[in-house]
Amino acid sequence: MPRSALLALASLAGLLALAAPAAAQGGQNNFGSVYSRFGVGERSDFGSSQAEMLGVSGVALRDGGSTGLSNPALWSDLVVTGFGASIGVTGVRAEDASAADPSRSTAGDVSSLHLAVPLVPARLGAVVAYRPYSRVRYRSAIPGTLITPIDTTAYTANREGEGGLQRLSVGLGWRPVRPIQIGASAEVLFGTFEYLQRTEFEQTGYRETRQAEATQVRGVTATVGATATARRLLRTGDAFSLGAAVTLPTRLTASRTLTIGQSLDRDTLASVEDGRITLPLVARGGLAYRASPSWLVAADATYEPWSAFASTLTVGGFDPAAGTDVLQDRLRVGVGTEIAPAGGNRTAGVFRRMSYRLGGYAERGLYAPTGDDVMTYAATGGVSIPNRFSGARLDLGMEVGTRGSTADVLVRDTFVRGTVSLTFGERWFVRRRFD
Amino acid sequence: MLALSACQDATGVGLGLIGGDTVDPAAVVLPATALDTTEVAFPTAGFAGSTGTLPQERVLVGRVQDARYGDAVATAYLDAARPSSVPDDFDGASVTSVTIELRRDYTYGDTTATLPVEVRLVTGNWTPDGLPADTTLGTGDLLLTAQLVPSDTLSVITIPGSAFAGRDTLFTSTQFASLFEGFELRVPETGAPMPGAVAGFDVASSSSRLRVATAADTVSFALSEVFTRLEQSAPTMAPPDLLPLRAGSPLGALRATFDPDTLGSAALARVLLSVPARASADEGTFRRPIVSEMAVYALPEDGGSAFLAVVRKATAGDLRSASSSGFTALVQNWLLGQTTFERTLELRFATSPISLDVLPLTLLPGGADAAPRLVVSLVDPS
Repeated sequence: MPRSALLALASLAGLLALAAPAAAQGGQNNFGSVYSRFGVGERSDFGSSQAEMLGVSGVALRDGGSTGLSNPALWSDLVVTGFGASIGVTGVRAEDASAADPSRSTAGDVSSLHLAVPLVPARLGAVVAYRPYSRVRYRSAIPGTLITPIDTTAYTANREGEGGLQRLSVGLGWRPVRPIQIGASAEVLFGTFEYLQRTEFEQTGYRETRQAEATQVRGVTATVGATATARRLLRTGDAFSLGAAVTLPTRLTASRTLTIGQSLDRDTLASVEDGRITLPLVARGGLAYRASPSWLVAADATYEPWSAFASTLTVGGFDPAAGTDVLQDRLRVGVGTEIAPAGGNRTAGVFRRMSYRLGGYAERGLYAPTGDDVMTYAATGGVSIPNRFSGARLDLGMEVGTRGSTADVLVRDTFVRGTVSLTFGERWFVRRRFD
Repeated sequence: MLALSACQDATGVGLGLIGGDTVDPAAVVLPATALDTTEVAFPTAGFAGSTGTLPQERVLVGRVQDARYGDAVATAYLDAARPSSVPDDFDGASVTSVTIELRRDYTYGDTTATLPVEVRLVTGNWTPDGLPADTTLGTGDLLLTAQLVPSDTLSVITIPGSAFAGRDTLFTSTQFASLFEGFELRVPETGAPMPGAVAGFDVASSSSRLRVATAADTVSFALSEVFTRLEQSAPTMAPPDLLPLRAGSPLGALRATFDPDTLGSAALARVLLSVPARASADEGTFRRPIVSEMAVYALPEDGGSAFLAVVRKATAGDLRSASSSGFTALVQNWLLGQTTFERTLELRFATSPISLDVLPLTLLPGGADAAPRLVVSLVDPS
């Protein structure tokens, strides 16, 4: 195995080790927005670290150094074998119209892991990737006092959500003719999300009670995508790309159990209830214009018709028995720009060789608990730092935004997210020439 | 990132979005639905001061009449161990006296009664292991009749050397361990005061010992094997509202049965066993000590028993489990139907130190308030 590959694996292990403590804290200490209660959780749509920093999904972002996961057509651009990993930590301050003090929470996660292999460099590439599809991680806590005939103790009653859906993708991107790229991937969706009632007691002698409604889901879907690129449109060396990708709606099999007990010692209260959950399609479309090696602008939109969501099991905001459905179509629009002062000049100083990214997005959430849209507005940014290994990059990203409002029962989240991404790239399978 | 991920300060924000009701914990008292008694083994023999196998910290001596809880007769047997080193001129010397010193720590019955006690040598070989409480050991002739005065914290019975005529080297022999089988202390069948009393002596105390005197030396022998022969009869005049449980009595152990089905499928945070008893069972100078500690056993459906916890005196008239984990797990499994244990708990009197402690349970018509009860702290979303 090439030396850089070993370095890549070691670095990935380091990143995972950084992310592990947050993940290992499980439901006890890893929470985010209460809006993750709805549907199958807060949608996660990681395309690439570059796309995140630009505030877009990256459906039309053609960048050989960054593997865009939102559109498999982009994988035909691969020229080097690459590994990538991204982790993030999100802090949320939430407030509502109630008398409760604002809550604060943080959550760490692994945003993506991927391996990209150019089968025919710049023409046919394959990618295996792992990303979360959704995350359920909320907590609301009410303190109280329990009076028994024997004594009195303080307690905290927690309503919590944990887990989410994971996504494993395998696909190919192909460039049949120079301006056109097409691609497709098969995706396995799996995971468990739980709604919990967890009660902690202050006094010794009590044990924490935990009643969980755990829903395990699995299924498959597919994504198809395409891009079209026009060069020398406005100036020499420029490139204008249009991209689109659609992830097909899918019907997941689900099973639900009610349990009590601790996380590692649970007893099943109710027999397994089987059901079906239908996820809507995901449609992405966008454009990117690279005016020169130094400057890029991109914009795209994502649409998910969650009004078509269906489930035989009750999930947050959707109860088929009661006829409750507060889910609505999700729409996300983003725009961003990237400046790389050095362009393609590898001899420039490190600060000139870095890429500086800035963007933002607006999103209408997939839920409308009061009938009004729940909007998210966020500014994004970050830097991409090259290093001495060709094809290796360290991306540091930041996202700041607000979600929702304090009207009615709604919650206003103010969130900050930091991300760290490492990507390594190296030519493999090079045919050696011998005299 | 690690520092960030540790920052959590959750409040009630968002409860309106989550929907449904937050379920507050509640406390439920689950009284026993049935009380019963059962005969259990009540070993009274053991090794004085042992911290290992078969410990026994007390012997009982006396005779008491008690119509409410039943009459009782206790006879004590005390064996002793020769010290590993004795003065050079001790071996083979004639004894001038043997003194039995016992630290008194217990009285059941008339606290003013002076007890006559007959002292004899045990003649038969015996061992505490598996010795039933109604065993009679063979004895020799009467050596001495002593009086145990209730005000003495250290009862001293001095037996002159002349009482051991022909055996005056018994206690100074190097073969003492095989030659000496102990003393019997017995209240005579006639001549004892009525209603009388049963006295208890702390045999684990270093104050309780034999002192063997010769013309030249006095050597202390520690007590080793001890045994109390205990005979109890059934109450003859127990009030109808009283369950007259007494340690070692024919009624034996208490069995309390519970019906936890009313708890549904709640998650249990803590389960404590509370056993309400009358604060006092005394009548004037007639004292009946209230039990301060009992062992609680769970009963497997296929027989036998499994130790669960200890209940101790928490307040006057209330025994309560000090730990909750065993009860919580057991009752939770009752609710889940995932246990092979019956829904009955068995409470047994301690066998070391043995006593005649009573558990005066009040039996009221529909007496839920007086019955042993489980105090359950739970969270029940249903």
